[in-house]
Amino acid sequence: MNPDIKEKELLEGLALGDKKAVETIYKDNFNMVQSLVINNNGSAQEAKDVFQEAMIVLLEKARSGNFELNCQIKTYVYSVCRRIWLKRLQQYNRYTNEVESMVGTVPVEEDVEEYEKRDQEFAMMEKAIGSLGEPCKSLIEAFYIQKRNMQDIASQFGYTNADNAKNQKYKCLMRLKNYFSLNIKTVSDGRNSINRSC
Amino acid sequence: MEEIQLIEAVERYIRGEMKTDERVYFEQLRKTNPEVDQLVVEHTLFIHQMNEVGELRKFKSTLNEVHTGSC
Repeated sequence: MNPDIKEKELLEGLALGDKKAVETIYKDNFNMVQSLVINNNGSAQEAKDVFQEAMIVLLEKARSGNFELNCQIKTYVYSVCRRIWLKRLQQYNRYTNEVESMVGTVPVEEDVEEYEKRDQEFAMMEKAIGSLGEPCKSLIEAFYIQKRNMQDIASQFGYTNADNAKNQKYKCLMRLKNYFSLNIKTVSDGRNSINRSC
Repeated sequence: MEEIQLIEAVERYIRGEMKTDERVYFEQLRKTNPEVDQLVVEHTLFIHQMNEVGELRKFKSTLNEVHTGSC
């Protein structure tokens, strides 16, 4: 098969949540990234983390509908991993000599920065959901993430009727929204001040 | 309308669960009541964010399955 068509299909599969596509991209690229990280002062666990972060960046790219990577998946994944790993080495003060490029790289600074912002937001949301405690956490997840109906949820959680479950879900939602408005604001304020100083 | 009922209406509206006449009525309410309109915008964003959290969780667990299977 034409390699460009194969790449396009892989990205489409990735965007649609096809596990086979994930497996193929994993198989084709993970060892390369593992060598990059391990040869530059990192561990196998760190290689796994960096690679999986790059997969999330690639997923975003694929979902944006813009399949024009202008380069091979391999080059893109390698560039993103290299960028993330360099930043991490600096954060940990584990600086090594210039990390050499095994394959050509493409500019990915913006994509990585975008990913980092989103990752920070996700972490904040997970923290907010986690802060709810039970049964709020599971109630909110059942309704908003698993998208189950209230009747179903009421019987699973042991409420006598759906209205009581709805009432409780509403209280939990208000707590979650309060947490967001208090904390997400701080994140965006922080971001603004970073922008101002640049 | 109490806020709890309003939120429920907004959720049914966003999920496309309203019948035509109810939907028309609700859209009219959005136009005439800025607070309702604001709540729809805010809650749509919230639901979108929760969807994304769900999708990211799913993707991360796929990545871990694939990693375990391939190493």
